[in-house]
Amino acid sequence: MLRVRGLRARYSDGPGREVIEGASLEVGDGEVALLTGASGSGKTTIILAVTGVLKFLMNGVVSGVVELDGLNPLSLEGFSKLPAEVGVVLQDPDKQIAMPTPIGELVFTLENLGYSTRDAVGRSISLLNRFGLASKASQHVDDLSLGEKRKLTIASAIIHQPSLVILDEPTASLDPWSTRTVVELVSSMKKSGSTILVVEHKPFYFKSVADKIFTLENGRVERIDLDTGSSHPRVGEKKRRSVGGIVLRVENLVAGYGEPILTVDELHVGGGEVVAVVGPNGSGKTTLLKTIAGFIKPVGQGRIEKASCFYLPQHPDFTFISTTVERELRDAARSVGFSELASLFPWFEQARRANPFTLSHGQRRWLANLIAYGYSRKLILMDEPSTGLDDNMLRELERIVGLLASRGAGILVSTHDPRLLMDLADRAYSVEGDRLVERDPVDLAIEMYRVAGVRFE
Amino acid sequence: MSKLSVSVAFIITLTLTSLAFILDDLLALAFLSTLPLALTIKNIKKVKWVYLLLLISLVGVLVNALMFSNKGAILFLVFGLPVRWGALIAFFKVSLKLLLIAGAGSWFILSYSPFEVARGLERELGLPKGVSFSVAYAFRLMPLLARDFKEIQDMRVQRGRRKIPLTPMDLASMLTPLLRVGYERAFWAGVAVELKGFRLRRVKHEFKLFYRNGYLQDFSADGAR
Repeated sequence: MLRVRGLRARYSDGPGREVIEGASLEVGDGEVALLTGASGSGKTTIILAVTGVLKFLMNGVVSGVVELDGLNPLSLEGFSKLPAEVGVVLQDPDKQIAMPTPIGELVFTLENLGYSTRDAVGRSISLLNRFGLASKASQHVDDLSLGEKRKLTIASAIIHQPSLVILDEPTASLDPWSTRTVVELVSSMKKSGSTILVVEHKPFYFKSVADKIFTLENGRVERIDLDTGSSHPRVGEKKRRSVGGIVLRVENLVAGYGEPILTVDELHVGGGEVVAVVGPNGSGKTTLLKTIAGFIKPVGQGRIEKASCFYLPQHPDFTFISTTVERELRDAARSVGFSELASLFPWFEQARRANPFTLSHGQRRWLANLIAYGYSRKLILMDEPSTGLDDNMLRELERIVGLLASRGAGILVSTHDPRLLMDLADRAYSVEGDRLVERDPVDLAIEMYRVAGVRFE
Repeated sequence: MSKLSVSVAFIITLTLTSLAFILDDLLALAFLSTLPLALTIKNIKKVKWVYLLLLISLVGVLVNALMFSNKGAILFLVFGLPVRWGALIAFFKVSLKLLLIAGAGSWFILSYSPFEVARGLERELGLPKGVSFSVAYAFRLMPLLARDFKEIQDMRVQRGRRKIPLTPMDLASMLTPLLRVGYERAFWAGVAVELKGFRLRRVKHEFKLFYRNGYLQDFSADGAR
């Protein structure tokens, strides 16, 4: 059982703002509890505070009562015993997996806790078998798909059979197929009696397994009704955009790194139109965008007719080359004037001399989008732009993409996020087998939600 | 199939590398440098970057030999510049030394998985857990860094900049995002390993000469039953 009473937490012992201001929650034995809240509301901070990491490793200030099966992780003794009692799955598998191979990752966890190498290897092989990863036990972790990496982080969190498992945004960056696998894993952990806390900004995925739901707002935790808190996304009315001339036409293209990965019979994007390319992790969406951008040579003969274009990577930071926001925008002012670009950046006056890397995540993404627009006002290729964004940040992304589309830019987005299809895409192509097929975006979004286990009445 | 343990292979690699610095005899160097090369020739594609770097460095070796050891009888002229016996010998000597180091390193890399290397260093050679964790984490990070670097290069080309950094400004603008993302990864990996009880880690030291059936098999035989 996890019991938290009056938890207060901040990141430094100076006059810093309290991120958590008196949070209380309780998760009973064998229960699954969801903790939801907007980005920046402190969801991850609660995990760091409850596990003692904030207090003992990050020099943060934490007060209040945390009880975990009689253990107090806010005391030094409790903190040192915590790893045996808790398994934690962090948001990004690439940041969490520390060992180069799946078997190494699991053995490492067990050996830390005092298991002999023989026992550790035996248990690890058996769990990798259960998770369908045995054939990849000694491969480099980087050869695993994102869904497999997520499975590995969950395996690593439960291999020592902890009494509490905490999962931080376990569906972030995952396609609906992998999301369903994660939900099924949580369900099977629940059946085996584990107590589980899932921190998630898309709680509807876990509605079928959750016993209770808490929301975190303004540093306070409140229990809310399960149905209200995890209601599924609604199908709304979408505004039709006016479409200009064709800015991208692709015919009979085979994309891949030497070997074919994805075949495109026909794909086109009009000016002012947002078109999504949808498919599971690793289905070749990024390869297609990079082939269109000219970074990768197509396999065989194919036709790409395009206006000048700009490829935006998943990580906006990789786009920046200058030391100030102003220099970035001046440098990017190729197809659009600098003053127009500056007027489109809402924080320009305060941030013009700031280093782009010091901006908030949302501001950096906004700036990267404007740089792309500055280089090419006609066609922008966006690679998985909604990765890790909660609904509020997604609205921001939609705002900037909508703004650029309204100015005539054609936008091709690769994604496996049904929210983008539901709210943003005018048209969509879906990867089916190894081919791209045009589909209605809303139908496709509903189908993807269903694959992930979300029920639409 | 049994193979040498990581610790023994590490000691052999270290010895060969030291010999590369110590030995001065051309024949001995030629003999020793062909040994690891012969052992790795089948999988040489996997370490082609090592040999590519070696080839690039040979240009520097040649220039050095011509500048500092160009003594003795003239053998031939290159663009009017006399190449003497001493320069040729010096070039071959240093090249063979580098080949020996590259070959020994490649043999070690190709013979063991990152898992075996990291654990072998900790368990068999008794290196501190922090050091062996760093080695393992380096193996984990390298492909990620390479991927990020390629992405940054693509972005620079797209923005009309040089792909290869030539000025301090180029280097700064390439390293900043790389380090920023790398730091964030390292930070969270640190949190993750602490939550997995890294501070509690006590590994029994055990020296082995050979792994009889391969590392995993040796250790899992009883546990998997």
